[in-house]
Amino acid sequence: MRSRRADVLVLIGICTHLGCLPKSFFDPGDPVLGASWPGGFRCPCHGSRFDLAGRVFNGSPAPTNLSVPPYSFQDQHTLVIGLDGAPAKGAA
Amino acid sequence: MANEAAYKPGFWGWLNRRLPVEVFWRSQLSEYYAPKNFNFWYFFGSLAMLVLVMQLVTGIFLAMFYKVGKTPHSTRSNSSCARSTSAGCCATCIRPAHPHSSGDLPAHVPRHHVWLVQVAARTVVAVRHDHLPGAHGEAFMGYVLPWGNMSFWAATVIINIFGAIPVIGPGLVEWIRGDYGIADATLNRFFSLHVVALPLLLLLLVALHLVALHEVGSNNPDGVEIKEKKNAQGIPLDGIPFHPYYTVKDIFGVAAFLALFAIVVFFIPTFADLFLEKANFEPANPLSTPDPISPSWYFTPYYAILRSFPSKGAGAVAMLIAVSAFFFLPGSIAHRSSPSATAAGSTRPSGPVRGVLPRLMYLGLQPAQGTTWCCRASAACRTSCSSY
Repeated sequence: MRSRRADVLVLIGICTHLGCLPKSFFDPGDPVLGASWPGGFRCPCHGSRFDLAGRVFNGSPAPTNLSVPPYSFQDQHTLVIGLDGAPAKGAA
Repeated sequence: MANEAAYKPGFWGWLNRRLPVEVFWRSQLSEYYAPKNFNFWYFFGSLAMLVLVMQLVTGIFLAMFYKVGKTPHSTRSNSSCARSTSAGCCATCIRPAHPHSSGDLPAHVPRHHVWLVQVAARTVVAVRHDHLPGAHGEAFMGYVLPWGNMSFWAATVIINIFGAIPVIGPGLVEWIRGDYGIADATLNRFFSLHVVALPLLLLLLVALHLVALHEVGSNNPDGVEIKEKKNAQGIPLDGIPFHPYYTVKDIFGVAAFLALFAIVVFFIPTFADLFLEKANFEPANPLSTPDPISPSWYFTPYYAILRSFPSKGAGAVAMLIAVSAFFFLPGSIAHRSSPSATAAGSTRPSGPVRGVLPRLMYLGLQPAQGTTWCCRASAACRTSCSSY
């Protein structure tokens, strides 16, 4: 389980390879990444690729998925980073 | 060599009794015998000395204008570099001249691969290569100092490579940075290392290199060992004194080099983003990595190797092997460098230079894109493995 709510993804946006900040390439088949690109993140430094949930694609230099920090939702509109909480309703 | 000048009257004798100036001049220049058939590639020896001096002189003036930023988000260091570019007609040439001449210092290296490694010198070349890692460290730290956005992210990536070391890696990275991220402490220590520690080390190694070179003597394009045939006075029959013959030749090389250098510095200082990248004119921004990112051109072969491995540790190890391979290169080809083998085809660049380095350099200059990633990775692996 990578997110507590289906509509919100919380990740530490630091590449697990060597610390650059991956950019968002959300559109499938992005012209930069080719027709087979399913959408996700790509690190500009060494080309590591992650899917929309921050899971690393096989063949990337990055050794692990993008980290998910401890977080919780205080209410529908308030996100608290650093404190873990129970999965909210509608977890994905 | 007897110190005959010590017996001369007047100031010259007085000086030479205390400091053997004349003996030094004769042993190192006017009576230092070099092969008479030096070719184009031998220009690069004196040119390396020239750019080293240029580095020191331009560096002294740059340090006068440099201000280390107070916080990681400060643009002070970046603006002080920009100011040194705009502070007058003389300073305009100093700022680009410093990094450009640093790029030319490693340019001394191919000459050894092209020439000396393949030609002969078994022991000297090992000494001749020892200044390489120092030059790389110096160039990297100097690249960080302008505190542009590319500087910041280059520092992030390079220092994080140490994090691939098992057990001590994460702690070591913090110790090098002096903070939890690239910050003021990192910039300050890089400034210190760049302007004091590493230049001293480089000067020491260059001095050792010259001592070693003048002890064994230069090789020559035909692989003839000039010390083997001497006349009654002990002068090599196939040699000529370095001064005036090669000082005049080198002055010609210096003039040609400076003309090209001036064209780059005054008219095309960024060299189409290859020497000074556009992203590095923007202040360091910890919240935005430049896209695409590209290292200095002389780091691109290592960058290509690093990113071609689908593993952090393997990429770091491969890059380390590629950097340290230069230490072992002379030994590895020693058995092929007999005098008879050196004459034919000796002007051709050796394998690593001819094939692998330019290819890796090209790959390192290409953006890291998903579509061609696998092709580039396999090509880079093939070239690096076949070379080393």
